[in-house]
Amino acid sequence: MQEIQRAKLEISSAQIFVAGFLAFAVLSAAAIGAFPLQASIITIFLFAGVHNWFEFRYFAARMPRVWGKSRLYYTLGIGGVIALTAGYILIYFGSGNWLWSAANWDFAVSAWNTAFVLWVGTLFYLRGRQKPQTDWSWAFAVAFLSAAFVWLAPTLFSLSLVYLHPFIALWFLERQIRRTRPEWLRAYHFCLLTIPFFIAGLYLLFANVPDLSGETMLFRRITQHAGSGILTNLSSHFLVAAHVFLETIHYTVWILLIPLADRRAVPWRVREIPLAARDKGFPKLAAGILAIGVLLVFALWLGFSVNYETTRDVYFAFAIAHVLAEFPFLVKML
Amino acid sequence: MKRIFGLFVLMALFSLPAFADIRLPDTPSPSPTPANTPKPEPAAVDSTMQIEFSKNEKTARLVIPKSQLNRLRAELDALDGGGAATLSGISRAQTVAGGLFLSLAVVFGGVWFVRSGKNASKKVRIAAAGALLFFGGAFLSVAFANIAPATNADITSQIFNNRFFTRPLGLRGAVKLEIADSGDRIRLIVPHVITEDSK
Repeated sequence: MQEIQRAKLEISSAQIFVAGFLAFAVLSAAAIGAFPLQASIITIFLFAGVHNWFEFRYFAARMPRVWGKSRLYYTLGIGGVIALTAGYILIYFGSGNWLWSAANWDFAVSAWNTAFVLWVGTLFYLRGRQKPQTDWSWAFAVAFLSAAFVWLAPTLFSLSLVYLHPFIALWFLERQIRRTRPEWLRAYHFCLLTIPFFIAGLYLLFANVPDLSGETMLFRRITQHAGSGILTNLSSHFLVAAHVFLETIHYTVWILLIPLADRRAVPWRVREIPLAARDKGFPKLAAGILAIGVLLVFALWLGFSVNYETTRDVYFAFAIAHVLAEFPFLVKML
Repeated sequence: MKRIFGLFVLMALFSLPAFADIRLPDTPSPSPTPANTPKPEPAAVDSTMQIEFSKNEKTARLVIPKSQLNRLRAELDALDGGGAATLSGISRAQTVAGGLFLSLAVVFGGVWFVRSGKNASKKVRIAAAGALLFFGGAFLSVAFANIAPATNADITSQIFNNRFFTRPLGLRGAVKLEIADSGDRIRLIVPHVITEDSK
């Protein structure tokens, strides 16, 4: 007797992932392209503080209770984050000081960038030493090459960091998917390949349109942040749109996609954090720090509501800490 | 042998930026409060120029009156605040530091290349070759992305011949710079050369 089977239309989670990602990217690229300045203000207001809290929560979950053989690595990693953040804030807030001439300021910025690339290079090298039969001493050559770039084209280097930072989140997500959701990997790689097309679309639409309004200091800050003072041959409309689009993807990765890929990153699962474990951990301390983080997010919202421009400046000065903190944890995942 | 050859190729590639006699593109200098800072205009003063032919000259002379030079100097002082000497937007400190780090990159890259030897996997070798091509290409772009050099020729009355300007690059040749105590007009004095063609 012949059996008739009806083929079921099954939609895998990977297909839902791709569809969701593409729908979100299309909608956000369209909205951001149409209203880049407004989109920049709104996304930073809503997500800047929140995504920092999620990042901190994620890093806390990845930090082992006992460093063991990684003691040197984590000491250099955490120490570097603290020292480089302090140096950055000193340069940032000292820039208006009469003691700083433009030449000294340039020198200080280049020195900071050099310390940064050498720190990252050393982290790579140390990580390579932890892997058997691996020699990652090439990291020093790359770090020195980057340091040369820092000195020969300082403004381009700083601008490249602004545009590369969003991609670090994408790299984190890739490593995370490999570990916890390998069935999404191909779908995710496909999503990654679509990002250049979105940027190209924004370029074709907005690269040659008139520059955005610079009528207020806030607007000028936003266009300058996107590199309008450096890439003068491109419309600031395109630069701001591209930057906000990448930042939006970056926020989405930290707030939504990484918790989806890793259950340990779900905010309310505090017990999943090794440092917060009841035995041998520091549950009260970890909970207290996370609670302070929540308060800071609310304080940031309050600050944006009262004086957006000043709060934005202060936020971006201190936000360097989360940019730096990404490197030790990312390199450790390689 | 292949490794040593590879190392030499690597060094040769990275030495290009040091020896290419073409200036790097200007790098806009960041300002502590750049939001309000207008972009600096190149130093320039309005003047007039007179071109003269002279049968007694062997080399072209560009004579700049002191009055014009002082105005230009004042513009330059206003532009860089009389600060550290810069050349093509890159200060001496930048050049030294950039060169130092470039050299260290070559040394460390070479040591890694030699050490890795047989242990390096195919992927790593491909990645290294890709990185070499990328950075080599990047530095080559920096060195040669500018327009091609102008035609070399003696600056004589023949420069006004059309054949020098078939390409939009003009020509270049030796010239003596002179400062004149008097006058307010810049003078370019070129040797008057009569060729068979022009008779």
